[in-house]
Amino acid sequence: MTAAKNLKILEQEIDHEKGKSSTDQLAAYFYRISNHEELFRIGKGFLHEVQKGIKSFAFTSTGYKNSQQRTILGLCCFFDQNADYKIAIVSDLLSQGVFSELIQSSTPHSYSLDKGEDIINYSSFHHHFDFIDYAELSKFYDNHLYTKKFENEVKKILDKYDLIFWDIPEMEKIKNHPHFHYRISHLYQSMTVIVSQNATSGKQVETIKNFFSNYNINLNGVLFDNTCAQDIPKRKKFLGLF
Amino acid sequence: MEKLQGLLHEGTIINLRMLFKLSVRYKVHFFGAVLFFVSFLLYNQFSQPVIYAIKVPMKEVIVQKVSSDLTSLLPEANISALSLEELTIALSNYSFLKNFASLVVEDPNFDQLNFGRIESTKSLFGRDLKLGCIGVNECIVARLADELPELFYLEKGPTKNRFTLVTNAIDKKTVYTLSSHLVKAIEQDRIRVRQYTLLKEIKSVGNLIEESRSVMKKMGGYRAMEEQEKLQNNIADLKERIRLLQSNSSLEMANVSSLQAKLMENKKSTRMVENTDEKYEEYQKAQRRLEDIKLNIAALSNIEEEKRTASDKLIISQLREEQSSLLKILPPKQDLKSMELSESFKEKQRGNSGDFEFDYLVSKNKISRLKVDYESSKAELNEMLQKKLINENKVGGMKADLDFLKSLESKQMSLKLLSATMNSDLVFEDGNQQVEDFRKSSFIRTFLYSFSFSLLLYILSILARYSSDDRIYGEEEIRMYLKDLDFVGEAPSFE
Repeated sequence: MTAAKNLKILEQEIDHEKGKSSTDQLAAYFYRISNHEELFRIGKGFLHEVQKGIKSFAFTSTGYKNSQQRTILGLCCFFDQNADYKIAIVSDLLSQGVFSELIQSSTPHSYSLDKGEDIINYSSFHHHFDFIDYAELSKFYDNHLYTKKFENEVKKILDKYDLIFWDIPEMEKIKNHPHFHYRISHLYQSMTVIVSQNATSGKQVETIKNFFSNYNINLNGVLFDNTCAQDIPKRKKFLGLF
Repeated sequence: MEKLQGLLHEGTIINLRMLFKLSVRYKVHFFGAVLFFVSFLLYNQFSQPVIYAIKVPMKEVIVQKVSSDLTSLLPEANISALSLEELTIALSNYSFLKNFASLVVEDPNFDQLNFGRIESTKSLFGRDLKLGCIGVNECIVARLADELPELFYLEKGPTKNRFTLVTNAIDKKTVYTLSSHLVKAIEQDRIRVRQYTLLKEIKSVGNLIEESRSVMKKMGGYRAMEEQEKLQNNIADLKERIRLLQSNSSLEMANVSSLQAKLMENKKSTRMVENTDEKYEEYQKAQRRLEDIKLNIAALSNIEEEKRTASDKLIISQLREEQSSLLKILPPKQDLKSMELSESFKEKQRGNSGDFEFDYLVSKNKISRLKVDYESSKAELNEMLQKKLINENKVGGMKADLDFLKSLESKQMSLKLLSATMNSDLVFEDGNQQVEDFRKSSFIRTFLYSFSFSLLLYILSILARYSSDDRIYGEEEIRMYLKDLDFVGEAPSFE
């Protein structure tokens, strides 16, 4: 933890030298959050979990990917504002959604694994968060299909972070790479499902719950997303009345 | 089950807060309910047929009976007064309805009349009834009698003995026709009802009369009565006859006297005429001589005086002397006239004399005949009076029975008269019979009904939707469907 902190301070100093105010940029995101009250409420919940020793949080939803990214970014802002954590965000969709803007102003880095034989690329947002693509992990997994090396090496990387947020891909994508996701799912310590107001049925949540229980992952909490409904196209909204 | 529990409330039974929440959630149901309400309201309002009604005020004619007890001068309450209930039952009686239906069927416009019920919009024309019954009159009347109770009713009037007869129909012409026939049918029915008791009385009085008559017959009362009546009639006839005989006898007596006088007079006149005849013969003789003398004088006078001889002159002087003596003998001119008339009179007198004598003899005979008749009638009258006296004693023994029979017959007669002149005890007031048109339910009633029904449907629909809906709308649903999961909170959103 101390090493990570020192590294972060060093990187911040470098950035400061470059004349960029990364804190301001992050603060801009923080203050763009419309429901601060709810953010602090859920933040406290997660902080409580962190204090219990859980550091790997996975997020899934009933199809609204944006809600997962918003939740992760919101929690990142919360933890970044309240404590100086090194956070890793693992997502399969970094080029889209709210992450894309941050990725653009992030600097690319990579972890060298297995004595430089494999590398895992990541983007660091001014040493606040590091964005790791699922594709990078998948690529590494493909090179070590039937060895324990994959888990060990990935774990080594994740150990460098105080908090890891997993932006879990949609179920269809998981079904396409079931083995990869099965092995990586062992790294999820907590799984939270985000349900969308007026659009999610209990049956859908049950499906998700059953799906992840097959991977031996239990859902721990539910987040309620009422902004998804606002994003629904007018036609769908009208049909939703029925 | 949890949903049901969520919908129930200890105080209000239904959780109104939850209901409100559901109404906000399922907005489309609200719009649907509003649309349904408007459609249902319009349908209910305009699908109702226009009902035409005629109100005929009527009142019962109450005969106030004054108490026979003079201590109370107040009129006694009429216990037979008609009540609304009584009249309503009477008007729903099948025999009344049948009579009413018969009157309607006989209407010349029966085919065009619409007897459709107020509740339904379905028309039922007279021609339809005829077609359904293949023209059989009894069948038409029976079917119409089933329909008619729906088309009229009775309302309480402003006072105890006043009522209002309301006739309804879905056709204006029909309501006029039905109203007029209904009034007639009620009048006929009231007369029939009132006559019923009288007919019963007449029948019982008739039975009593029959009974009394048979008793009288057994006792020979009738024969005695008939005999008494016959005797009375005969006595009356005889008395009349005697009176006539007396009168005729008196007249004949007077006639005989007059004929006697006439006969005497005639004889006297005849004698006078005979005397006059002698004089008249002398006069005629003298007149003839005088005429001869005048002719002779005239013949001699034609000879010139110088040529006349002495004998001529002598003859002339003798003739003139004779002429002057004859002229002296001759009666005056008026006497002559009377002598001339007496000839016809004489003829008449001669005829009258025979007539008078004949009449006199006839009258004489007639008087003697009348005398005989009178005597025999008198004897007969005495005999009858004696018989009557005997019969009277017999009839007197049955006087009580006879009086009873007479009073019964009198009662029967008065009852028959009363029955024949019986009037309805209900008077229909001839008012301005305006036809009112309206719909069965008022707009406010229809509005309230539609609103209540729509509201009920709306509540049921949102409850049905809620029971089948498993979508997640808030924390409640999360807690309901995902019990084993902790609700963390709301996901952050960005502006």
